[in-house]
Amino acid sequence: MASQVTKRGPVKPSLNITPLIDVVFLLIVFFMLVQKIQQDDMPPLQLPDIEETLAAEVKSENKLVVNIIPEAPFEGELGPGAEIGEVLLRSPEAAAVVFGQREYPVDDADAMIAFRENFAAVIGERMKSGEIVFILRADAAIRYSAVMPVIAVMQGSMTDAKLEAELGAGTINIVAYREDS
Amino acid sequence: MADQTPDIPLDDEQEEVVHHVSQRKKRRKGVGDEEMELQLTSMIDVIFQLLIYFVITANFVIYEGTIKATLPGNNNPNKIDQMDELQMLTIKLTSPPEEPTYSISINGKDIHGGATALYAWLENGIRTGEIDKVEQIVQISPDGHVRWQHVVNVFNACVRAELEKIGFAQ
Repeated sequence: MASQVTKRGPVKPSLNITPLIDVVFLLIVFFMLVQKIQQDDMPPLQLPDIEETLAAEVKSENKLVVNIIPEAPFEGELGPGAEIGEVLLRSPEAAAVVFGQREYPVDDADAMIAFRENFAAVIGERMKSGEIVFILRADAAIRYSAVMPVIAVMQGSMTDAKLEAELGAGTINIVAYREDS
Repeated sequence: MADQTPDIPLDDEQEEVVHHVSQRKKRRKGVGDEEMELQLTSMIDVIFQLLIYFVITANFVIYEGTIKATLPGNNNPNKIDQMDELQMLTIKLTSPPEEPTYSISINGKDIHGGATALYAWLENGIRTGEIDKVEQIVQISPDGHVRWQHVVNVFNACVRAELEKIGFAQ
């Protein structure tokens, strides 16, 4: 930037970087949040809250999270410490499986086939990035008959992808609230 | 000689009755040199941005953890074959339809007291040598009505008892 020369000498050039910093911060915040949302891929659920649980944080960049959302979402404050009676008073029906920011209604057979295919395809892609951590998040109120088919799909896809031999076994991480929460 | 008035000190107000000093005069005489001041606006901008960032990200700090389940499959060492079924410990969970309660039975024997009682039973079996932590195959077999909360609770009790071969019935 060339400085202007006036009768009283050159005016000091100055660069006002405040708005630049503002904009840069906005961009950083935006990208961090977007990345975080994409990585987490976790719809809000009321998870199983268990006494003396062994649930521990999993640190992996290569997570595959499958969520099962309920027909009747919990209306209280989501999180540990909720009254179990209230949590389980809701309908035990599941609404959909959420995987990769896409919903597959559980009562739609075609959708479940699409879920299976998509899950297997994603495993194939992610295998290149190293060990995959399979995570199952299901609402505490959902009945087992809605969860088991999803576990079966996860296990089946692992077997199809010959992951068992590579990863040691069909390991699924079941999500619950942690003890320290 | 001109009359001299005694040097009476003027009041502050009288001394500084200057309403306007032109920029030229300021520069020439150095009147009204720039005062040191802290530019707070940009700092507040940045602090607000940081505040918003941390408030938003705080929603993502969820107190979630996972319990690792190594499930029986085709190739893994936990595969259950017919021989194993004879030695298998089947934990049956039953629940009346539309009821949030559940009951536990192990190989047909009822366990009262939920997952806590189940854990105590398993611990006792391990201590007395009836259950081998490494070799014993445990199958959790909930009926379709049992809530996921209870299934995970029972599974957690088995993991706490350090059993290694735990599966879910299909």
